[in-house]
Amino acid sequence: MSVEGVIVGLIVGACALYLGRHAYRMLMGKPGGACGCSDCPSKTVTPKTKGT
Amino acid sequence: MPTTIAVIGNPNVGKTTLFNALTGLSQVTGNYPGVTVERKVGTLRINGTTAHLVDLPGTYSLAARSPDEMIVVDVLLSQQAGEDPIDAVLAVVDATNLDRNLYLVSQLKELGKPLVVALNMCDLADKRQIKIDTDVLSRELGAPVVRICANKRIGIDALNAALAAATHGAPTVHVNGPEFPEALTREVDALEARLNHGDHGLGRHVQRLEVFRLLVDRGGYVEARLSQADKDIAGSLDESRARAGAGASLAAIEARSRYAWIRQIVAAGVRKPTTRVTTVSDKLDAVITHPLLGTFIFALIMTIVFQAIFSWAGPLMDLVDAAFGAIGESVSAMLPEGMLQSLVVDGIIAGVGNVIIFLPQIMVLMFFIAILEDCGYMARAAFLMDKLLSRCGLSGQSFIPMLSSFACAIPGVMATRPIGNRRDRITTILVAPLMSCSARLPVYTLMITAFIPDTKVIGGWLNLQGLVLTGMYSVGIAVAIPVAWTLKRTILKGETPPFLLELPTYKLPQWGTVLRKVLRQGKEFIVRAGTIIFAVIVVVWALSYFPHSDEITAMFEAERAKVAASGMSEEEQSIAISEIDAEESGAHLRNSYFGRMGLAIEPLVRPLGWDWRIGMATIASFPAREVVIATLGTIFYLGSDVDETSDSLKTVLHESTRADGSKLFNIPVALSIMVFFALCCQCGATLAVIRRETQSNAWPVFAFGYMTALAYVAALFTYQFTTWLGWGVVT
Repeated sequence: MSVEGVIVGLIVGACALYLGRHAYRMLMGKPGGACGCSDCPSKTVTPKTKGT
Repeated sequence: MPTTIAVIGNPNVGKTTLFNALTGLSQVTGNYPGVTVERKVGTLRINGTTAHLVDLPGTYSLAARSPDEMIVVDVLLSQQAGEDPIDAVLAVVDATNLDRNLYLVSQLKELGKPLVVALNMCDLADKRQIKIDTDVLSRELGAPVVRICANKRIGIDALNAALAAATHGAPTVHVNGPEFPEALTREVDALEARLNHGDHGLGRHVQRLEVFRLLVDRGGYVEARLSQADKDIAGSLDESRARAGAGASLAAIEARSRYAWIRQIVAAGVRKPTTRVTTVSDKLDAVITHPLLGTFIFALIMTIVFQAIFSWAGPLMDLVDAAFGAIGESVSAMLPEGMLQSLVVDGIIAGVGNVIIFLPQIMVLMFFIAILEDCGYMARAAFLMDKLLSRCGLSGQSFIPMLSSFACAIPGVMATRPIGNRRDRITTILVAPLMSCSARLPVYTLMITAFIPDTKVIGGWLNLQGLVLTGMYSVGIAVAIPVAWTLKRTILKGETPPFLLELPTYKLPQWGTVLRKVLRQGKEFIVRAGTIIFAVIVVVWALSYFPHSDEITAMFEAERAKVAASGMSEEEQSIAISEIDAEESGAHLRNSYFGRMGLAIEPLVRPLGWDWRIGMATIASFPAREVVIATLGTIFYLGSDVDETSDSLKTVLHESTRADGSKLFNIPVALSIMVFFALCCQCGATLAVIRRETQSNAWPVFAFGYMTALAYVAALFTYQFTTWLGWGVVT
């Protein structure tokens, strides 16, 4: 396989993996902020207890 | 251990402004565990020690029904998981509307914690000639009252000092609170004794305030929570309530007793002008909330916004377009011809570039929405819509989430939290994604600028393209009303409680707030373009490029060789080679995985006037609807003889043809695409948030199903009807 093929394969593979993870998180109800929306509930942090 | 102070008040009293003034930048924002109610905690230095300030959601009363109010009650009663017990309460009240604000204060007094009252908006009270004697008010309330003006940072030091005194052992002054009928007090006493001394299975001390809410709020949150822990409670409550109220509503008894107490306090400490001072807000409201004039003004404002989207953003969009064209050309020149060049130029630059072009329009839209929100107009719009929404079983309370959804459905769905009635809340959640969010704007703009004539109408006052855009934004509202009506009469049948809406005073927009909102929306759009859209487009490119058949390449190489050997003139050869190039691109695309899938689904989308390329671009955009622009860019650049992205996408779409050589796009096809995108739920993030908010898989599935079906039927009708009208004739 050519160097060009390897580069293209890596880019496409990484994007496919990213989309797969995104789809999985969507199905699990964890948008994870990938949509870019700052209001995303799962992007917010779990509250720290006082004094920590 | 740092002190914890809860900041509480009615909605729109400047609670968050005061919270920001007290804590500055030292804030942590998050959610309360298990629910999606925002939790904001800030740090404050009082007398050299650290105190935590917890900003609670705005509420009118502690009779909790909505998720926001439940959190308020739990935090105040120290029943919120992960939250430290509250040491003191800072109640923020609106000095111009003391009667209503003191209702919550009267309930807070029963908590028995140190209480400080911040009298906000004193400047407005002065303007309205309302004189408040804070010493008298302090004495009557048994709590320090501090005059402040949070947005001007007036009185913050005095408030800090009062908080310091309250949290460092200043003696609590006992004053008599509201006087309730003896029967009610007796029942509360009896219930409190039973819950705290009997074998009730709660395993903790139940505070008097909690017992009071349990008895008075029939079907309320406290009853639901305590009944869950101890089934016996529910059984005896009805008898206790009957004895306490002697047939009358306990909620009405509570309100009467509290307002009687409030009237005494106000009579002692507040002097109001005998005639009501007519403010500028009052004068404006007479026009803006007028049923006819107000509706006309609302329509006018929306029309101006959509006209401005085209006229203001146009020059900036041309600049971005030209920049991406230039990038595409230089990258083409730098990379050798082949699959990497195709990925970068036809995939990434054509795809992502065509989406980024719409950034200026989104920012212009957000600029107007932010101004309308900040100056207080949006509450008036909700007031105007209340009558219309009440006819379909919703209230004006549902209009705020629907308006938020014009920016993005995610905050819109989350803005339904204050809706206490679950059926109303779910109905609002289900119709909110029908509002045209900013992600739909690129789809509308592309189709409108490419296929709707840029002509002036109505005596040259309005632009036809702007009018069509206004129409597309109206589609969502027009469809949401009958959908809500149907839902409220079928699967979500139920009474709608009356809607009380506070109209905040008009004010000039704070440009810093407006700018922050515009920049945030812009950033979110770029993040989407750089993550999900980028990833989808690379995968779409791969599916549209592979398998790059050597046979097809060889076949067209042979064609080119024939042309070269044919003895044609140079000009004739160039034309023939261009045609062969276009045919080869088309043949590769049809043979690709994407092409094969597209040809398989084409019968499904043909009735909408689409070909397989539009169908596949639409399917690819189900995770995020802006992807359709990127996908159209990639498919149409790959499948045409255009080598560079210098030709704008709308030009390429204009020139695209079907297999029989006829033009692919015309006005009915463009309208059909826009209507489909206006109504379809192509946003994975929105569906995930619906799941979160409803705590159910069924509602997001239902939302996706009904919106997709609705979109298909509406797009089908649009295409067939406008074709029948003869709009499809290409001149």
